[in-house]
Amino acid sequence: MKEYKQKSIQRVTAISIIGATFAVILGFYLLSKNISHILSIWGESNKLIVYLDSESDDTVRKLTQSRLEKNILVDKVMFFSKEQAIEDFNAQISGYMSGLKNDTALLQVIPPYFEVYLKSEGSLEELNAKAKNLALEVREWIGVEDVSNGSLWTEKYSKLSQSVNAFFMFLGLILFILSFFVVSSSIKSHLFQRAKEIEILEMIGATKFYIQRPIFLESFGIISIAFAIGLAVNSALYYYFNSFFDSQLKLLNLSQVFRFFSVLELIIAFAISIGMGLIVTRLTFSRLYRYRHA
Amino acid sequence: MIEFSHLYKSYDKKIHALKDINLKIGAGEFVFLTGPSGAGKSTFFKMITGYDQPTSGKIIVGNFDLNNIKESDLADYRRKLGIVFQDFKLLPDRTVYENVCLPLKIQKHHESFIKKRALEVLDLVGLSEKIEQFPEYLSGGEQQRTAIARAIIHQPGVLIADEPTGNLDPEMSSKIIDVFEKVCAQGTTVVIATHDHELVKRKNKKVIELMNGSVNKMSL
Repeated sequence: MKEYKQKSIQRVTAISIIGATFAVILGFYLLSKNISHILSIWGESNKLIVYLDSESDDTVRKLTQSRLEKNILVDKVMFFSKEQAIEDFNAQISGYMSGLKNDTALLQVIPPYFEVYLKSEGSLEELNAKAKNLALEVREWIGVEDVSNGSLWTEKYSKLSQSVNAFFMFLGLILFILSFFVVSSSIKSHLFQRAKEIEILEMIGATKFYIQRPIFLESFGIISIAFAIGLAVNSALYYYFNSFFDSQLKLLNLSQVFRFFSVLELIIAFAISIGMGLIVTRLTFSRLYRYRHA
Repeated sequence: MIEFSHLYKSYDKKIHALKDINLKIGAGEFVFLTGPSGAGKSTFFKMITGYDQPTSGKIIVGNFDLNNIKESDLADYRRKLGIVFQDFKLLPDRTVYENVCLPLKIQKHHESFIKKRALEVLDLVGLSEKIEQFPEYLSGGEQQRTAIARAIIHQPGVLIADEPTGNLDPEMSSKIIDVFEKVCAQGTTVVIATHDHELVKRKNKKVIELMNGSVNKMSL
């Protein structure tokens, strides 16, 4: 009976350790996925500003707009006339440099412009390169004075995004290796405590299949329960943070942006966890046999 | 039939546990294996159970050539053995009944047959009242009898027992040896390692005496 209790304690210990490991690694994945997602959303409104000559007439405007709209990279084109541009300028500047409102000479140089939104296809780096090329092309068109694509900002942003992703990948790899060791040592110690039982069963004629099947099933059970624990912890944290963002940081709209695991991600993560557990069990068996027959 | 031919077993090339063992034990024979501690009795049993391989020489048990036995046949071979270990080797988290049933469960016998046989052998070794007990609550003698019941439940072709009466009082020892004789009468080859010279004398069976890893004397 004492042994039976001891076995249950061993199982609970293994489940707790592996469950905590899964909670950490799933949480890390969820965090890195959402941070990358937020970075890509914040960076995805990639647009060009195409400034026309102040003197350009309506025909030039229409022609430029039509050429822009026909470009396969372009999603949407919005025109702002000289008057609208001045109005916008005044609205933005009046709060802190009200003197400029009456500077007619300055206001006269503000040109009409197009806001050209690009299609969000491909990575941030690809979008950035496309915007840059399109800006170079459009700058050569008749009636176009200048094109701004904010390339400095987007390049910096894209580099930040790349660095963050690389950092998460590196940390994720380390965490995965660490979790493999944690899972491995928990299962190993659990199995080595059953070495005597395995030896007795072998001596009375149990086949390897007979001996290993219940232990593989047990490993499967331990990993499944541990995975469920890890997932439950992450679900709780996800809902807690989402409601926190909703109530405290509504401005950033993070609760709308944060994403939980997709079904596919969960299936893959579960399959990897189970695979890891079964491989470790198999390796431990080999080690156990080698150790005994040495 | 058990046959050892020019069998040697050495550990690390220094310790010679068995040296040039040549012997034959016929099917259905009852044999006592004697000798002082360190004479090689445990190694002898390890060879028969296939737990260890000889350094050189041949061992044949029934139809099995243990020098060349495949891993997949080893389990099949061991099912034809009944083993009583000196330290009993009972599973501590299973009851007396569950421990005794193990060989038949492994051989996938029907539950009703297992129950019938288990109750028979537990009655034979005088443990009918203890079937629901866990080993840790049994005395040494009761644990030994549980191990004996487990070794005979499947009517093995060969029964080997390492000091099976070591923890028993004379009356229970005599009963257990009677059980072994009954098993032997049904065609099982029985090999018992013992230090009990009185028992060996009284039973007047074949005796193999080991000394320093060699057969010192073989009687009958």
